[in-house]
Amino acid sequence: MIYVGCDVGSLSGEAVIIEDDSIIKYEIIRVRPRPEQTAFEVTKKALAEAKMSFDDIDYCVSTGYGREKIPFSKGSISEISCHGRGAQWANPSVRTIIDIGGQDAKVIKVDKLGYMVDFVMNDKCAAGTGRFLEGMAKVLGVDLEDLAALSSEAASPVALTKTCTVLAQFEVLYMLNDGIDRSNIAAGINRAMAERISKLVRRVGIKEGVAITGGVAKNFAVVQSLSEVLGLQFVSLGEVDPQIVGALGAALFAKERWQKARQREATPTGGNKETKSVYV
Amino acid sequence: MLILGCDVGAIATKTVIFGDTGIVAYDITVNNGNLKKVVEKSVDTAISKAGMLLECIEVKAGTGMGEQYIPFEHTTEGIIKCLAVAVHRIHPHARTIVDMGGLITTVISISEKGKVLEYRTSDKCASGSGFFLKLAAQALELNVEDLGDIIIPCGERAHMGTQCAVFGESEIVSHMNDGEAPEKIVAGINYSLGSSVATMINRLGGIQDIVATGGVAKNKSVLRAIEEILGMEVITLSSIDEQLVGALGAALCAQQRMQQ
Repeated sequence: MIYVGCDVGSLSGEAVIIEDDSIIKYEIIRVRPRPEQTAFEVTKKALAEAKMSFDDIDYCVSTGYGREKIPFSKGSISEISCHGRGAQWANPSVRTIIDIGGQDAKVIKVDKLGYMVDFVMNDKCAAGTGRFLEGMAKVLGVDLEDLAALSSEAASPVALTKTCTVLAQFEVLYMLNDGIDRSNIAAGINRAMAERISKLVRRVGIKEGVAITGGVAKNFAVVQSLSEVLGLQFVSLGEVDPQIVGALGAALFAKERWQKARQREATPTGGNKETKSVYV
Repeated sequence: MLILGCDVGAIATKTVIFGDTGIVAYDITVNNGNLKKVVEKSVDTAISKAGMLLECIEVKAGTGMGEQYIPFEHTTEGIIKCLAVAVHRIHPHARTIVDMGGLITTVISISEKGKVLEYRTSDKCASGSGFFLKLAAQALELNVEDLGDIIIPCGERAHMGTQCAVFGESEIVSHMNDGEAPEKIVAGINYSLGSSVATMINRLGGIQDIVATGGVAKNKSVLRAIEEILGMEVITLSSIDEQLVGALGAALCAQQRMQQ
């Protein structure tokens, strides 16, 4: 059976294809102007990689902020639930997930089955989200992906005084004007990011078994700073790319829904039809 | 006697040459690239417009967040005092000044004599700043100067759900993708900015006359939004460009200091 999870975020879209109990293929693309377009293109790309077509999908669940606009999905589930489920599948010891996306940051606590118990989220301010790093990389004139490598060359990291993404960009501009080394600025940026996230984490508290997901988890300098600030080691997600955890969770929910639907069909008494959209 | 006043802000550098008859010449240069060079250029332009040489100017004064980039000897004064002195000189009835700059909005309450009583500044967050308008204009592919000309009935404004300048830019893009009319989006942006500024004015008591300065004060639609929310009139100074008030204040402060 082929199950697909599709996560349409604010900056990127991800699709994961699972068959039985393993990931066959996944794809990540930059968002297109409309969420349905992003969903279609990223899913098509992943299917092509797996030499499949849309007809081969048995069940698809969508998540992310554009989740309700995806025509080929049979249901949508909030990204908070999906991150919990995805991270739990990747590593069963996970109890807290720090997800840093393009335009928000969340801390999600889950039980031993991966179901959400508590969460806290920042979607009001760009500080502490991917947009912060993106803006900073632009001012420094480096690719977002190179920010971590640049900061590892730092001898004495700077301390940023501004939290706001826009104001911090100007602060960095002034530092560049003053001839401060770019690697020291990059290290200061990654540190500022980690400190902002740690404030969010402290609002909800942590339970041992902390995983970090989302695109920002690929910036090892931020991850290392955050682990220092929080005084803990993150648990590994194994082979799973941290950016696809939401989509993976959606695919796992797709599998669960499909199996439940089969069970209902098999039991003559359970007659209620499945609904198009169910919110968990 | 001639006094040079230079205000190095976040987005632009402003220079005025102030003589016995008032402002003789001025310049506004957008900060692009090396700040020291921008300041030099702005000062040179103002001086040559006045037909002068830097050596001929007896007093030089600086203010603004980039004041340290002024490459010659000068007296310095904080921007808050500069604004208070200049606004009081031009409009003695002013009791509240709303300076809406490129990055920071400052609300200052002043006494009948022009003394600073209290002030609030938005130096933690760029939500109500001119930079937000700049990002918005870029997203909409419009000139930032033209955003203020759009005034439409309040019921037709596009809703802005976020205060954050960075997220605001994305929200504008999704409004555009949803086919919302650009003028409705612009009206929504102006209203959102006006409402964050109005909140700041309210916190300081909002005593009239309220005078708006800074680049954003050129945006009439933002001013109307503030008036609509406060139910009070917000005026601009007709005798001077809104962006030059800080630089003029620097010159006036230097003049006061000499007279003492």
